[in-house]
Amino acid sequence: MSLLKAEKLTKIFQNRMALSSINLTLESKKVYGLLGPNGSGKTTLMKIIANLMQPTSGQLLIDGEIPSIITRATVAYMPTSNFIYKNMKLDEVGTYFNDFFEDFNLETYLRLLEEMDLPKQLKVSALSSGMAAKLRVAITMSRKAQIIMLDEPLNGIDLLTRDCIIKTIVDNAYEESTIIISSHLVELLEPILDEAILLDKGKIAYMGNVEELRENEGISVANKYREVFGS
Amino acid sequence: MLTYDNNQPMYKQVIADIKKRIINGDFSHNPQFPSTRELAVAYKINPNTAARVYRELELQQLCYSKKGVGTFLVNNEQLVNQLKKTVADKLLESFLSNMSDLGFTKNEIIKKIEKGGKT
Repeated sequence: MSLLKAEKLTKIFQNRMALSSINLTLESKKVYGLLGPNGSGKTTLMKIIANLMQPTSGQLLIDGEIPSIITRATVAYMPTSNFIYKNMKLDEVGTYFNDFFEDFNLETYLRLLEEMDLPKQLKVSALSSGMAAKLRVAITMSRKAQIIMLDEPLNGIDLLTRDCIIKTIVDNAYEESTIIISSHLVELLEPILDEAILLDKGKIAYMGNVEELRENEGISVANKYREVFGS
Repeated sequence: MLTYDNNQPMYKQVIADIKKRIINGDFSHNPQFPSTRELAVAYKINPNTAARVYRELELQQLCYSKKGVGTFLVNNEQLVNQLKKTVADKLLESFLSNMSDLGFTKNEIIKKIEKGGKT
């Protein structure tokens, strides 16, 4: 069933074309990888879906609705930067988000903190960058949202933390959610994807089922990526 | 932990690994397979891929699912033995064809195996 539909979606910043007339249909209950180099439009697309940015032209519909304060209640978006007050303790962070979002599950959040070795009495300001990355994932995955978007969840963190984050995503993907993960670390991400979307300078260069790609063309998503963006 | 070849379908690689475990008797005491979710986490694969693994194993009549209970290994020793034979035959066939590509005759291959793989 199609959940999200973009038609001729375009975003222009001054002279720069961030998204160029994108047509896209996403189905529910699937894991999508949004892949492409820096500046290819991944974050812009996510921010439009999250209703944090307006398209210049074209249209995006979530379950038939234009993104708004209403769709925001069912769309979880994890940005790349820290978005949490530094003076809060981690358990207070949970209470805060629990008040904010109806679909936030405090129990899930506290369980995730434990699984990810994040002491709940710690203040946000005391976290290392790897711990902060885990916290962002924990907050976002604690929402039983219709769409969960993780913007570069694997960036700039060590191998074990990456493994932990991948495990958390697989283990906590709520059955009803569609998950969109952006990354340029294609090899790490591809085992958990259903579909890959390759963005190149604001256009969709390739989109397809990753298992079909392996079966029919005998190549990995990483190799497809090299083929599309290769030097 | 299974190391994946990302150029091959993920579900086939997981199926091959589960077949090895069936042959080794990993499920002989408890024929219940992990849930789809548990399988996805254990193999670090997408939940839809994990579900496909069980669908394929069911098609190959190696397992069956009880609604609301889980997926189970079929209670059929003969089938497990047959599986062992099929997997071994496939490995041997690919080994022999690779060795023959290198110009080894059957007798040379046998000698090599008897020497424990050293020349």
